[in-house]
Amino acid sequence: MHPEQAQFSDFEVLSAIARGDEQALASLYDRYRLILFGLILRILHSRSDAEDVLQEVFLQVWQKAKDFDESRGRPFTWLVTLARSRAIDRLRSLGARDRLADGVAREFAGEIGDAVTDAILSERSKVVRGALMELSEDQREVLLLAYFDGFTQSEIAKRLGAPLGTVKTRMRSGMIKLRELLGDELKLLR
Amino acid sequence: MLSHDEYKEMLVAHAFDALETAEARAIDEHLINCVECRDDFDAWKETAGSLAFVAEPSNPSNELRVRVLKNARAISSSAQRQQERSFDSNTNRSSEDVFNVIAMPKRASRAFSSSAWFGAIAASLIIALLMVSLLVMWQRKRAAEAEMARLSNQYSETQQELTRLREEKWLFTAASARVSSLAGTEMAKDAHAMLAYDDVTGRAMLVANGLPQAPAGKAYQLWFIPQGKAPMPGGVFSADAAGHAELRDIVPPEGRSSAVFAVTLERVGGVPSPEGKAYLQSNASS
Repeated sequence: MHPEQAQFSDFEVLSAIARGDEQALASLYDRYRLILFGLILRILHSRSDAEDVLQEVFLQVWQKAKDFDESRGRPFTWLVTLARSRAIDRLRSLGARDRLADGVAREFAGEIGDAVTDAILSERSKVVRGALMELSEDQREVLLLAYFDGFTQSEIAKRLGAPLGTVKTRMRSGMIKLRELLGDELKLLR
Repeated sequence: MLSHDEYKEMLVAHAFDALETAEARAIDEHLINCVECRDDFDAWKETAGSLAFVAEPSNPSNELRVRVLKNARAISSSAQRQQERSFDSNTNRSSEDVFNVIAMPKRASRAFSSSAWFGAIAASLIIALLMVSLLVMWQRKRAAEAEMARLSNQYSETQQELTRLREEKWLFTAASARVSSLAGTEMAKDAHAMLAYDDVTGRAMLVANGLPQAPAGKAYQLWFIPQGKAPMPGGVFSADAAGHAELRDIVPPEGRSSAVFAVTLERVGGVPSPEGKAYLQSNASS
């Protein structure tokens, strides 16, 4: 039997966590710590802050797993949303977004270029990065500023010196294109 | 009041939390009653969530896993204690309620007929049989769950090991990789280490040998020292009994070129700027 089939689904693991199964929590942590910690670290740029936030996320999962509603989305999306929200909250409370956003914008071009040859990145990571590269630079910039720096549309408009309507259009058209490009891959991403 | 279509237009931004507070509140109210928008919103959140893959995967410290599980256990214990207290108070209330009831003389029980006795015994036997069956099934289920959890853990560990090996291979062979050697100082003359890192993403791995075991309450900490600037803190680690240590970290952009790398002995958990003595130090990255 293929290992992928042998393991529990995310939903089964969450159900076990809801019943107070510590092993299941450990299993979920092992499964997602790399991607979630990478995401939080990308937002906060501080390992100690990122570790605090990752811990908060898994303790929230421990307490709220029973409230997870499968009909509203996949467990992976729930985890990523929790992690990002908590990281953005921490970022806002630190008041460090402007300083960090400059760094993120600089780093991004390099990371995308690197993705092509990066043997360590998973297939799914390559798919998302590839799809993101298909967007226009303007669309990509708006999405990344909103996702990794937690800027509102108004803040992005002010930051880029662009009209608010333009930012809204770029964000929406960028997301529509991203969804088209990812297509069925979205269901496989986790 | 906005129209349905106007709310629909705002869903993408809401999936990023990129609306102003008032707009977000208005759309949240709309989502309560609009199934179509709620489905759309969930779908946009899935798409937005995929952007998490843009971030470089990174490994938190091993200590964090222990901390998470320990704190989860503490939360469970605390919740259980609260539940027990609540149960006790309910029990007490019930007892008090009993005092408000006037005791009535017990009615003599009516004698069962023989057929009723037979029926009762048969029903009891069936119930007992069912309970035994349930117990056996429950035990089998528990055993199966434990086995599945064990296999799942084993699989996760194998995956982690594979990822680790791939990462190590990649770090030492990629075109953008840099390798810097660190020599032991007066504090650890026999120690030596190699730091390999990706110049583009900063992902790094330190492999050290010959380090003395850190005393209680102390740990080794990696430092990135850009030319003419203050040292920047890296990860904290410890050496095993053979003096071997490994650390995965991210070298910040400022520390990726013309930087010196060093390892000092610091308090467990690390410090923002070096306080202890250096045990390993490089000259300059090559």
